[in-house]
Amino acid sequence: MRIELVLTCPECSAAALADDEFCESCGTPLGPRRDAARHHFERDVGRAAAVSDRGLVHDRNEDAFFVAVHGDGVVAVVCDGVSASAAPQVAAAVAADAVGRALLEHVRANGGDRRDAVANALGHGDRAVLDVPWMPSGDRDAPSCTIVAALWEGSTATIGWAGDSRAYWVDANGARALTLDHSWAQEQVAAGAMHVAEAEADGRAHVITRWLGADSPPGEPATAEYDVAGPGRLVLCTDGLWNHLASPGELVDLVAEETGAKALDLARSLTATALARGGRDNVTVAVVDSPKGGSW
Amino acid sequence: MEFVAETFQNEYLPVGGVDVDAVVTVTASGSGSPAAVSPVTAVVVIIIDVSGSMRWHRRIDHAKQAARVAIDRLREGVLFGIVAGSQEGRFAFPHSPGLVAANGESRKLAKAAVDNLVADGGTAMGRWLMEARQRFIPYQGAIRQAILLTDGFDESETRDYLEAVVRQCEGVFQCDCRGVGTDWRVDELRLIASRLLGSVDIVAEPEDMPADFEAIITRAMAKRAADVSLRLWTPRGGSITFVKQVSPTLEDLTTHGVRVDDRTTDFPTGAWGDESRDYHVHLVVNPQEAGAEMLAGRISLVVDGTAVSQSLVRAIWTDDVAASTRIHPQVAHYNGQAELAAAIAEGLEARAAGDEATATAKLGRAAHLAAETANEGTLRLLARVVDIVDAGTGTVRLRRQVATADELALETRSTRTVRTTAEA
Repeated sequence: MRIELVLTCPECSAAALADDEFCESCGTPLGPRRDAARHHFERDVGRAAAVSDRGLVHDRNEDAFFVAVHGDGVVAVVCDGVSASAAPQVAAAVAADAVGRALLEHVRANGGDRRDAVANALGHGDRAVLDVPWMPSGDRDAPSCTIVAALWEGSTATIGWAGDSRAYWVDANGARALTLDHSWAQEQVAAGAMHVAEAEADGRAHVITRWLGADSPPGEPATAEYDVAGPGRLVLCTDGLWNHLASPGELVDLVAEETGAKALDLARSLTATALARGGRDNVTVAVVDSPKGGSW
Repeated sequence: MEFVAETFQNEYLPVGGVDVDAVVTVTASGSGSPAAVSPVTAVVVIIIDVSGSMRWHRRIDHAKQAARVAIDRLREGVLFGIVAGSQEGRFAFPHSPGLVAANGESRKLAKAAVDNLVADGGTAMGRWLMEARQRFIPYQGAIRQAILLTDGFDESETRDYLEAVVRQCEGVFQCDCRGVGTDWRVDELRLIASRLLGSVDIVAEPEDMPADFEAIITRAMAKRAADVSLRLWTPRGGSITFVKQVSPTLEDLTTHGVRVDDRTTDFPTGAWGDESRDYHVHLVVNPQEAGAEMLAGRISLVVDGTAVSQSLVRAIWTDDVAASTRIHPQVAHYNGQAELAAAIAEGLEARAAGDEATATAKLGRAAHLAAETANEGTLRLLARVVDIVDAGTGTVRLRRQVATADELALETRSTRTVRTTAEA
């Protein structure tokens, strides 16, 4: 769902910024207009579906998603606004929308290099986040969000990401992570400086090292391409889900429990699991099924 | 340093209601953290009354001793100077223009200059302040503290001149005022201290001066943020009725406001160390229908030019009378402290005018309020001016013989408040 940006006060028509909780002119609350409809939202487009929920602890949902199907092409995007930044829910919403639309445009145009298309789409998302109007202040960063985006055409899934939102491929062989977090812990492990357990136990473990929005470290967007010819299910999610899972293997069990279920039902079921385990963060799950079906 | 503002209020208004009361507690901490220890420059000017009357009771000798103690207490490197005040203001130290950094040599020279002071002449506080002002001006951004000690009233100049000077000194430096003996006027020192964000107190016994000066300097040396303002935003159609500091002392800041833009006003609060102060704001907003909500005000701190920590004052209109008529305990408490100070001021005024009935009623009310809010300090001061028969019912008898010093002490210290222990 697209976020209502509320850049004009509905009461007095004064200009507002994306991070204004109240109208700076007349004091009318603006935050609820932006956020109230986003506590829980879903979208079902058949082969793909997504569910987003604010969880049990946070006041608002700062996650967003985009799912669309065109012919045999599918686009799915999941974003997580960075809580320490201004208007994180707006950043996530505009990024998911911009990246999703750019990928859908690629599918419709029917051609071109997929990894380039994904990288270009992430660039659109970055610019959309940079364009979010906000009031710089000492204690918050510029609007920013994580992203994981999938472009599925034929038997190829192309993934692009920034931050710690993840993509998994789940099939008869188990669950396979398609992304590598841009996080402090992952970088320590990749650099050989620490073992996984040691890095994960550190207080800085979940600090992200790439994102969309101002000041993200420069570099080519992370993209990867996978052969997804056989039956199976692609799961995109924010850390609101994977933080509640002990291992990818557990995802296999949870997906197996929903054998035969529609994409929407699996997305709902995974979201419910995160909530049942405490719902400490916003949780968003997008599921894309193989054209050969999500069961094996 | 870290500043945190927290609002206490009942945000519910009756339908058609326009009045919003809130108490804001501002707490500053972290002055000892490594980041904050980078020494912020401090500038101190000590103004000593050297009028002829200072010879009485050897006041001048005690004042010199107090100045010597103050000079010793200055942190190494703090810029300082000494003004000798009579019918004019004159820098006794340094003789060269400007101010001098505290070190072994300059302390010795300054103390020698203090020793040579001679009490002779009149009293013109405006001129003393004006002299000090010139030398504070180059150091905006530093902690800027003056101490003014006097034993008399401002006889050698007009009240208009004093008021004009105080307006010119506003924001240039802060000034704590001390009256020694009983011949000085509370209203004159309060005028200075109030506009210059300082305290007023009586030093009844001249020999207490050194300890008092030591306390003032110690407090000034503990300041880490030089210029802090309370910034208050109000919505269109809203207005600020008053902004008062209510703890540790009562100080009406309403007329100190500096306009930032149509919606925003800054109220200077001076320099801060690790401390906590409470403010009571009263706002008026446009009335709304039941269920409507509005941001009635937003309070932030402006520390050396940068806005930090904000706290919101809300208004929610409801037809639930129980919700809208509740007064927040913090607001009620400080209403009581303000009434206590007013009752004392009115009671003492009536007593001076010979209106014993009013004086007894007002001071009785004060005793009741002081006891009810456990303001032990004020209750003790009251007990030296009236016989408290029953604080619970506010029954007091005026004393025939009251030491002038006790009356002055009650008048100057009646603005000291206590904090409530009531749960928010």
